[in-house]
Amino acid sequence: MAADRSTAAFQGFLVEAKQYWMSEVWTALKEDYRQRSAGKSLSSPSQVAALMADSPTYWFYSWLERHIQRAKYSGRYGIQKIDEPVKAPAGRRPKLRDVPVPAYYSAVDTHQHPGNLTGAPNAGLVYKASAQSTQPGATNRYGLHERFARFVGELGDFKHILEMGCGFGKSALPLAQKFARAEIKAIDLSAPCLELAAAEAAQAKVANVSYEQADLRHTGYADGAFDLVTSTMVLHELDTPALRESLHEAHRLLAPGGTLVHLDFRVKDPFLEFIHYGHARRNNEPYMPEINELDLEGELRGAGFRDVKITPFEEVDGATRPDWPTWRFPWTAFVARKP
Amino acid sequence: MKDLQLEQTYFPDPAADRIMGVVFNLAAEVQVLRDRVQVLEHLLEQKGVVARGAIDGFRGSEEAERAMAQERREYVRHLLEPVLGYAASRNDVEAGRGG
Repeated sequence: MAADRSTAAFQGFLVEAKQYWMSEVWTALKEDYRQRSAGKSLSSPSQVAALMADSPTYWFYSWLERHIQRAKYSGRYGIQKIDEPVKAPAGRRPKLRDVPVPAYYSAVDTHQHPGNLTGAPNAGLVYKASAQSTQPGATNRYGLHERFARFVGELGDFKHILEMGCGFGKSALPLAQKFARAEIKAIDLSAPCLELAAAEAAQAKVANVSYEQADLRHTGYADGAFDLVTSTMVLHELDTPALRESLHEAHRLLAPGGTLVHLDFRVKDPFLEFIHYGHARRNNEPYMPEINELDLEGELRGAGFRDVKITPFEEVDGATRPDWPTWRFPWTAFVARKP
Repeated sequence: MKDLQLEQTYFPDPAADRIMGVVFNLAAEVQVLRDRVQVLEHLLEQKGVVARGAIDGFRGSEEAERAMAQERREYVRHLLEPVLGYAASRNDVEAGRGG
């Protein structure tokens, strides 16, 4: 079923609540931290956690972050019940295989999505509905992903592109439109997401992208088959061994001179790390802290990459300004080249 | 109650987390109702169907009353579910750092 009016009204309430949390509650929390930390020298997120442990503002901040997301999925008006037939026309279906779900992935219900993305057949639709309000203003209407495609476009003109962990095609579709003469392969573990991605590409009449079920650690493609490998919001969902394997696999898949571009998160500030790691716990994303703490430049070089560039990424104009007024993810682009 | 984990808590008294859940659901439900009432008001006004005061005097058919009772039951289940304190999804295996 599509969302009924009551579900839409409830979900609208949640988006409003999330926006209030992103602006008013976030501002109050930062002010509380400013006052508590005045005159103190704090160098680690655990020191910030100790300082904020008895902050009622932080209690409510945490509760709302957890429960707005919980209510989005679960309960009477949760998007989990959204279901409708999703099938790309013949010739545009994704290539599905029996890919085992890795233990690091099945350990938790990521994003508080009960059953995860490899569970129910409607998991792709549910994820798409959820992603609209992950960071209202940035993650809805595909804006972030179109910006990412433009960013990649400034790095070169690519012909053979692999998108790792493509989900329901939010990045693969803008990439396919940006690189209209390229062939884009997009892989994911989730069959329901791939079904939705393929159906949306067919509906958008985008013919140069195809979707396949594969594990990004061992994709099965030939050595040097691509001149660009990308991902968005995938690295932080991997544990450290899986991330290392994915970097080696990307290196193997790239032709000499090929480019790797990952869009993910990076934060180096005790307060923002505290916020980021708290988000990880509240949103059931257990590997976020270890991936943030990993020396990714060193890991990329260790996997054979050179010309590593790690730069903050603006999901909307001005978002990386220090005085940006609302909560946001610490979007970061990781670019490297295979010599 | 098989395989249910306890929900994370953020307040010094974990009962406050559950009470907050009830309040939040109630608030959201009020918005759902406001939305529907506003739609009805607009429709009724557009079509000139209902005179002022007709709602207070309303008595539905047996079937309508049964359906409203079912609605009420589902509403209460939803409203009070946070009191149970169970997570709706599987939690992080570790307590996490920083937060």
